[in-house]
Amino acid sequence: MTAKKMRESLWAAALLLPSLVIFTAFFFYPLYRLVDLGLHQQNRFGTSSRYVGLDQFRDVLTGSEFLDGLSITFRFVLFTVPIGLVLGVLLAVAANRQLRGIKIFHTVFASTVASSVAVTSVIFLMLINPQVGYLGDVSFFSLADPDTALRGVALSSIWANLGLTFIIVLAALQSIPDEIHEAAVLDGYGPARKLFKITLPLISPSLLFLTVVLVIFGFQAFGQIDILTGGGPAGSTETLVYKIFNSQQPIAQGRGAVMAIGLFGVTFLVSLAQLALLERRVHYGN
Amino acid sequence: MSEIVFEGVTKRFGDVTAVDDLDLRIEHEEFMVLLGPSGCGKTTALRMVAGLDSITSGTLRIGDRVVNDVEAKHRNVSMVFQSYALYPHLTVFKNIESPLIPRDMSVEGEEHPRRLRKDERAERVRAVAETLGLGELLGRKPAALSGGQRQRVALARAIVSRPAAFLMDEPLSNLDAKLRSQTRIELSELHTRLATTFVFVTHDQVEAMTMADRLAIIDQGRLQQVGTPREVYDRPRNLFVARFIGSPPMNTIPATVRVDEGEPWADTGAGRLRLPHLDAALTDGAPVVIGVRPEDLHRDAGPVQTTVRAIEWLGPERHVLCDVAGTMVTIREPAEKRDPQPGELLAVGCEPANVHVFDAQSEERIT
Repeated sequence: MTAKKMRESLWAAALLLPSLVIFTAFFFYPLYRLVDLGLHQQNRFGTSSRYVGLDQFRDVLTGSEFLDGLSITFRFVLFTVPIGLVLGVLLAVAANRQLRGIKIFHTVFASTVASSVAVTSVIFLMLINPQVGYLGDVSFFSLADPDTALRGVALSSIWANLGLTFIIVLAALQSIPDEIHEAAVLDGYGPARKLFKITLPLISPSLLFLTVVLVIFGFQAFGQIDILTGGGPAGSTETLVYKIFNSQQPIAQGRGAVMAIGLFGVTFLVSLAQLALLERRVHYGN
Repeated sequence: MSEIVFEGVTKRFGDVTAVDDLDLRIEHEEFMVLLGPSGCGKTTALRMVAGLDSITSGTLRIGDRVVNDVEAKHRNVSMVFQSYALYPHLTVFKNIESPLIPRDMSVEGEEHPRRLRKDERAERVRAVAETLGLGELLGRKPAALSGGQRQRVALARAIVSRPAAFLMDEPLSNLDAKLRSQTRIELSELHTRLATTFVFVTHDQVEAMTMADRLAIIDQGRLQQVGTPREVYDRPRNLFVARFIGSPPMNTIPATVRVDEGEPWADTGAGRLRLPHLDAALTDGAPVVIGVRPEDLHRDAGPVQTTVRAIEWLGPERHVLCDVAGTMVTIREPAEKRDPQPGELLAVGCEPANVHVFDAQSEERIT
């Protein structure tokens, strides 16, 4: 190896080092600990643990607790992602025009991006409070009813994520040259046809990105559930993340670790599946 | 019939008047070029014909129909944009096909226009693609095409629906020089073949002079002159047109009228030039601007004294830049003449018939 190549390799290693340190400290080591926890079972006080191996993985991943949580999580994602995406696109399409004062609407529509989950959840709680809330009949998404509580939490999440969807879709819309729209108008496209045949295909990379991100957000939702329902009533809003959070006593830590790895696997597979299924239909510009 | 008529058409954007009281008649099957510097309002005029910009006041007719309030898609015109505005996610075939899908088209042998079937659309797309040499490229997307090919796809998309008028907004400006001159010829041929009204916007006078049946010169939203390239070149109506058309542009020199024994002269401050006899009476001492094309100036013992400042050699011809009483003047001459030297004194002159006279105040041509 020449001296020059040697120097280049040293530089490369030096430049890689910071990210290696960070990844190791915050990703690889915790992942190793998680697997390690999953392979062991602790006693109630956390003073001793014994190796149980993959048996714990099999028991937990096929057990009713995990599958229950997974089913609630999937329902939550199915509530939040399609509605959130459609609403965000509609808002952005409506706000993507040159009008006096439109910036005010942009700011309002995007405002939830700057609000933490805690803030949006507390505001939502107040809005649907039966005594002082502004919303009248909330029976369709009441947080007190096990049949509707998940819808309520989903509604709050849709609203909280709407700002992000709005901003990304609006930015994508604004990157389409005006002349493309004008050409479509001259070609005889009506508004609906133009939306579906021209506009949406041209922003499809952003829509794919948002779909993947919103699904991951859905899988990882925690704050709003904790604040709005605490997993209740009757466990009807206990998503997988919430169940993992609830496994903090030493005796439950092994189970929690396995569920966390299970969630990671599910999220990973779902994201891969989305990319594989949708990417073919996405047009990346020139 | 598809003539396009502007009657007192004005377009304002807020306080800015883009097109000011435009009266212009574009004849059926004419190749009309709207020519002017950037920001002069020519593109706005074109966009009003297309229906992409509304009309503030006045009347715009296409054929017999007033189209002020007719939606763009019902005007039966098509447009080639400067950026081509191809749909990047669609193949060349689908790009060209797109104007055929959402509207009724007339079909030979049938009385009423109707939606075309898929195979009829494919047939028309292939026919147009063939004439423009795009047959091989129908399956590609715009990103995989060269600039010239994209421009052809845009042309194909515009002509496939057989519009009554064909609007083009600087369609050649993104092509390199060689391709541009080739495309100019092809566009002229296309115009002959399609026998459709063409309205072509450009700031490039070479494009305008070479392709236009007539050109309309616009400056600051106002129509300056309409005429054939020859008329506009030979008899510019005002100083703007005189200076805008021609390369190098017409020399314009401020001068004072002298009438000597009934003969009009122009005193340039560096010698007198004989003026042509005009219908308008020139009064002694009147301030004018005289215009002489660079090729009409000679340096064979003329009456005007100049100093050579620079020489530009261009192969077959040469531009001699010299100073006439503080005004820079260009002489265009064949390169075989003797080379002048910078600093040399020249005696420049020209035929009276080749002197254009403009009022110094109004800048209008005096005839």
